[in-house]
Amino acid sequence: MTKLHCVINDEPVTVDIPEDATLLMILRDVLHLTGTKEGCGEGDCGACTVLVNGKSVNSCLFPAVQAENCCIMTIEGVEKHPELARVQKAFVDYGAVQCGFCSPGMIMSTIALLDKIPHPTEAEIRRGLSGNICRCTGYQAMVDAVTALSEGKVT
Amino acid sequence: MSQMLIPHTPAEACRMLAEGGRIACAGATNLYVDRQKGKYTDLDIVSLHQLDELKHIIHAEDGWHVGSLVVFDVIENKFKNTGCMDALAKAASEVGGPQIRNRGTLGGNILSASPAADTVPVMLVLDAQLVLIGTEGKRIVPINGFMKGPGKTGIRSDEILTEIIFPEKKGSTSFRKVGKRNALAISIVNVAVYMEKEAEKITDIAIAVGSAGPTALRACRTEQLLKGREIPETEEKWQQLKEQVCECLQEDITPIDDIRATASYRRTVACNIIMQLVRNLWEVTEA
Repeated sequence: MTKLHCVINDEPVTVDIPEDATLLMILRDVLHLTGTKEGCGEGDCGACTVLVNGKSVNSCLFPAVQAENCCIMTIEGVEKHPELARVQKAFVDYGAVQCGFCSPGMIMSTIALLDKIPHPTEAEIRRGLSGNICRCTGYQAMVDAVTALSEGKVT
Repeated sequence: MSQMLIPHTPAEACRMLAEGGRIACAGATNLYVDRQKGKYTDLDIVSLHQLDELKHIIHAEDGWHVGSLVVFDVIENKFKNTGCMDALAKAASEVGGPQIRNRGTLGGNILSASPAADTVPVMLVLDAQLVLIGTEGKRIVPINGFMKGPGKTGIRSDEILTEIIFPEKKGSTSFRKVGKRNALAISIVNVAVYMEKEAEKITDIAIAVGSAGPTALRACRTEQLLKGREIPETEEKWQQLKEQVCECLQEDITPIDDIRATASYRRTVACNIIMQLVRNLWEVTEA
């Protein structure tokens, strides 16, 4: 076991972790932040996407020890954040949520995208979300939600 | 459970690796997938993430020096439309998805030694040099010849890759990947081409193909065929050249059937992409 010190959703956290644990394992099994999902466990589906120092990463492939002194944001942090919670609202308003399993990861990727490119083209939106797989929607609803957000149509 | 060792200097990393039973880890986008599948779980991990001296990009007199821990996203943004480094940006931009490109490193792409690695063919055509340090000192080796087979390179057990040097070159490059979908797909075939020309004659050319042999490889016979050629004047002559290239290429590459595609599909597609990239570079008029 080793100690991990980091900031998760704006709160400083110190936690004992197995040395080779993934960040996903720590978030879900140790800290019980179960909003972040595990899909494939191999970096293919993006369901486990979180932000580490503002960059989107697959937490299932992220050695937790590498998060030492980092700022992590999960879907639970988005919910509490008045500005970012609009992203969740846009997904609901535009029907971009069906079974919901991919939604937390998809929303984290949307936040990373809009942070990098505030007014993305459709191609940029599709590329920005290309690391997240959805088996329900066919993606158009997500593209519509992100477009609406970038145009300030979601209040 | 594997132990996690965290070196603070490259020399310390080498000493840790020299103990044996350990594997170096950068962004872990390959290592943690392999571990999920039961590979390397008996090895302790030397995590290089604190070695900030391996995260540089410097333009020196002899070319670009890129730290082995530079991630694909940074490569893409840094080298887009930067002369012959543009193909490296293109290849980096097509690895995995955004999350993988935020974590996967140039050094990891080399040392994982996947025959389908996207940036390796570009490094092969740019004659990249690899700087390795070990407990007994530093050596610089060409990437050509360093890739030994799937998962195998010429790195020694006590060594880490510190940087990749791209010698200054005056020609142009191009890269194309073919996969089953645009994102999160492993290449079925990928090709990088480097070309120098005078008037409309090819004076130097390098072609590398990925996913068409045990490692990404240079298509040396095809390069010889094209070097010194004048541009074809008619569509018919382009067609004749394509037939010659295809025939020649078949001896350069040794693709296999696997879950992604058949060997015969790879042979056809490799030839088509080479001709497409060569023609694009050949026909473009220099600014």
